[in-house]
Amino acid sequence: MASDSEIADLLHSRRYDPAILSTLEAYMERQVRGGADAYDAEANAAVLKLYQLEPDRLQGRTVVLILAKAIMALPSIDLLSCVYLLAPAQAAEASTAASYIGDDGPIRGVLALAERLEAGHFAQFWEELERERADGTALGKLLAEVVDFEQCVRRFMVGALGRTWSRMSPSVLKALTRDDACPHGWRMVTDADEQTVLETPVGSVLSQQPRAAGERLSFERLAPVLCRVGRESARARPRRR
Amino acid sequence: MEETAVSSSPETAEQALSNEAAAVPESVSPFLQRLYGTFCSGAVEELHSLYEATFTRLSERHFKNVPWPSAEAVARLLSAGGAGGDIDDEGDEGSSTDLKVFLLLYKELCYRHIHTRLHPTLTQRFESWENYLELFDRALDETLLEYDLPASWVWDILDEFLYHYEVYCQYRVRGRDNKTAEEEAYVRESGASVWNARHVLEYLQALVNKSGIGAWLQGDAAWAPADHGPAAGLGAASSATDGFADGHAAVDDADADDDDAADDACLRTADDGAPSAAPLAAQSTLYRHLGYYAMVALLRAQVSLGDYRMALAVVEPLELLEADAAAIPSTAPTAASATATGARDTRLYTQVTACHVSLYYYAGFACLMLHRYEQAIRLLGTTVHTISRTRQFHTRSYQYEHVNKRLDQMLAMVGIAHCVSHVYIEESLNAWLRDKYGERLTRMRMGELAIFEELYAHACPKFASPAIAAASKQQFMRDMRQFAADIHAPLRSCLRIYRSIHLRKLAEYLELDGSDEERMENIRAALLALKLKSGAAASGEGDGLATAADLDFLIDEHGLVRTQEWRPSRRHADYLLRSISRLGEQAALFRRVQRERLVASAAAHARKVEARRRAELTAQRQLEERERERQEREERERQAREAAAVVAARPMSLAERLRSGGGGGGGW
Repeated sequence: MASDSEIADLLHSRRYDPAILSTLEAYMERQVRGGADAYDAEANAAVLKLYQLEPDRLQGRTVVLILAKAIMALPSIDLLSCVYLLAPAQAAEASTAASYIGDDGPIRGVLALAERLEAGHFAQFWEELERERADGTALGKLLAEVVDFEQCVRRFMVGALGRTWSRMSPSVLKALTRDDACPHGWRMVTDADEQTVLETPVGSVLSQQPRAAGERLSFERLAPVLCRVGRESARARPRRR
Repeated sequence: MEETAVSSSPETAEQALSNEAAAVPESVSPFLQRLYGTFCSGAVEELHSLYEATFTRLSERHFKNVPWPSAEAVARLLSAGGAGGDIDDEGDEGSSTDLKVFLLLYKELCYRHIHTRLHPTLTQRFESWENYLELFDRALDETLLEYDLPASWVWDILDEFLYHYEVYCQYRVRGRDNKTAEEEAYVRESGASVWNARHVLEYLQALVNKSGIGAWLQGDAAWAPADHGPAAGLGAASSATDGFADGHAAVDDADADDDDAADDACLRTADDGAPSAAPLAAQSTLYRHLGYYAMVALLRAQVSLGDYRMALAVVEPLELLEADAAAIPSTAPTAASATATGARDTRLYTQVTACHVSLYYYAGFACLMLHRYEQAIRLLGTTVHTISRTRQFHTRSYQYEHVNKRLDQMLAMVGIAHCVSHVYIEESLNAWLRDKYGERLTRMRMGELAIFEELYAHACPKFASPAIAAASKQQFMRDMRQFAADIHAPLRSCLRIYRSIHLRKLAEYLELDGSDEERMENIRAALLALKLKSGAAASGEGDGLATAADLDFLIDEHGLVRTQEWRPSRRHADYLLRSISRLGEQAALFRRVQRERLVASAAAHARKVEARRRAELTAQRQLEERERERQEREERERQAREAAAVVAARPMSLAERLRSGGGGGGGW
């Protein structure tokens, strides 16, 4: 089994060599079992790239799992950049040009789930996920293999909610994330009506001080102005005498 | 002609070649000889003018509808002609390598000419590919280290390599209509090796690695420590050479069945395994350009495959986003490296306009596709400005049209990115955009998908296969559909109007259907999606709070949405910084003009004084002259008088006496 540094070496030297596919696929399986922290976007992208260059070697299972791992990494652009790679590089004719996503396979299904997340339909995401699981579809089984899938999705959801709400009632949070624990960084507070509400990190910052919408300037950008000011004042001084 | 030469017996082939060599137009053979001679002597300036001007002119005049003479004929011409004279001195071997390399370059020009002006046959497409590989192999085995080429030539080689690749991809896909069955079968068979996406990527990567351009871009400090020992993968220099060996090994692996040249090259480099201290990019201008432009070509190849993230990763060492702040002297840690980085300009793309445009076009497109709208606008906006300002200098270049078209496409991308992200754009760029796409911009903001599609089709590059083009377009249109969904545009305008509004009321205004619960669910989702989009537009810079969009909002526990809008005027800093530097420039200009005027008036004064002095001098000289004349006259008069006296004293001659006697004879 290849270590992480060996994988990195492999990617550096033989990124486009189909011979390394099996190693990378095994590596990917390891990420699937490894949970939230075991993730190597670059290696996975390389797998998809190799599938693109050698469509005959494609394995639907690997593609679905890679996409699932990319969903876990949201809101990074990993998922987006993977989607662009889901088309063969060389099509003999225009008629066979259709990408291998297929109309009704697990790849389409996992992308539909991702679409729900991006569109903010969190409740629907859970419903559909449950349906896949309950029906025992190929996608449902595959996603069940991915360790920490739900946990990572939930983390993404909490992040998005935390930027959109200043305070939120626990029932809404539960409806959207299917979890009643108070997320990390959020606080339980009691409002005027003696109801318990959750205050998001943004909300707690906001309640303490009005948000300063100031601009931030890096020193690098200011430096030439200061230089000029220095020069100009040096120039002006002798003239005044 | 070549094919007949190959298939027939040696004598007739010989005959055909000499016929062809003889048939070369008269003004062309001296050109070829001169080109060869200049190439051998390494006079880049002259080579540049021969390449840019003379070659184009001769192509126009003599080879409008026919290919340039074959390389074999040219070889014969050159070895027979006088050009060989000064080269023979260097010894046989040197001149034969010279000739080989020159012929590779010449063939590249020929195939390029065929691709732009004529319809390449399948054989020509294959030969072009073979020729590129051979040329790149020469680059990889360091043969080219002794030579130098103009930057624009190097760029054109790589640019054309990609162009031929794209054209071949289209050719491969095109149906049976203009291929014979034989060709069809051939294309299918050779599909794995000729103009193959993988080989294109591998070769370009190998060129980048070989040149060590990455280490060069980082500056001196990066490769100097490599002398202490080749620490595996740590020293930049050793990684550069390793990288080459690996990269080439990969190429070699891929080509093992059909490419012996690669094997040779690999063996040769394996022999001299000792890592050289400085990357080739630092030793040779040619390799520097080759590596740099191969990087840009790699960017383009990755974009054509839809691998936008890899594409941006490729050009990461170029620090494109930092480039617009490049006017600021970098705060280098040590004095030595400060002088080193200060002395050289790492922005090689500025040397070739086509490269500049290409680099930013593809990088901008990749950003656009990855939802990095703000970066896209920054990359594209700056370039549109720079290029359009210098455009008038290129009107005569053959790439003028191409550059213009790219600018148009870039502007369209800025339009899309601006509509989707609401990122603030500079006033002048905005004015230009309105001028060019005004009506369409409004319709895009209203969410008209057809316009997005139209602008995308206008702006997108060529893709390696229709499937990739379709996948990219599908995803793009999906994003745009999400952006333009019925709910989003009115939601935005609602949020702009109200400082705070309840979710329920918002749902009412937007006329959502369904039960109360569904409506709440939908409005929540829409707000979340809006937030996620604006977060993505900010491309993860800064903290989570900062959004690039000019609208932000937060919902509280009762469902009250509080909004906060930023007017564009919040970009005071940008405006002021720009104005200050512009004022500074104006002041400097004013000072310079004033100084020049001062110098000019001083000079005028000096001239006037000089003139007066000269006038006085002439007047005086005239006076003196007159005085002298007067003196002379007086002198002459005096002499005349004296002479008269002498004449009077002289005794009269007989005739005089007779004459006067005639008068006064009566007296005598």
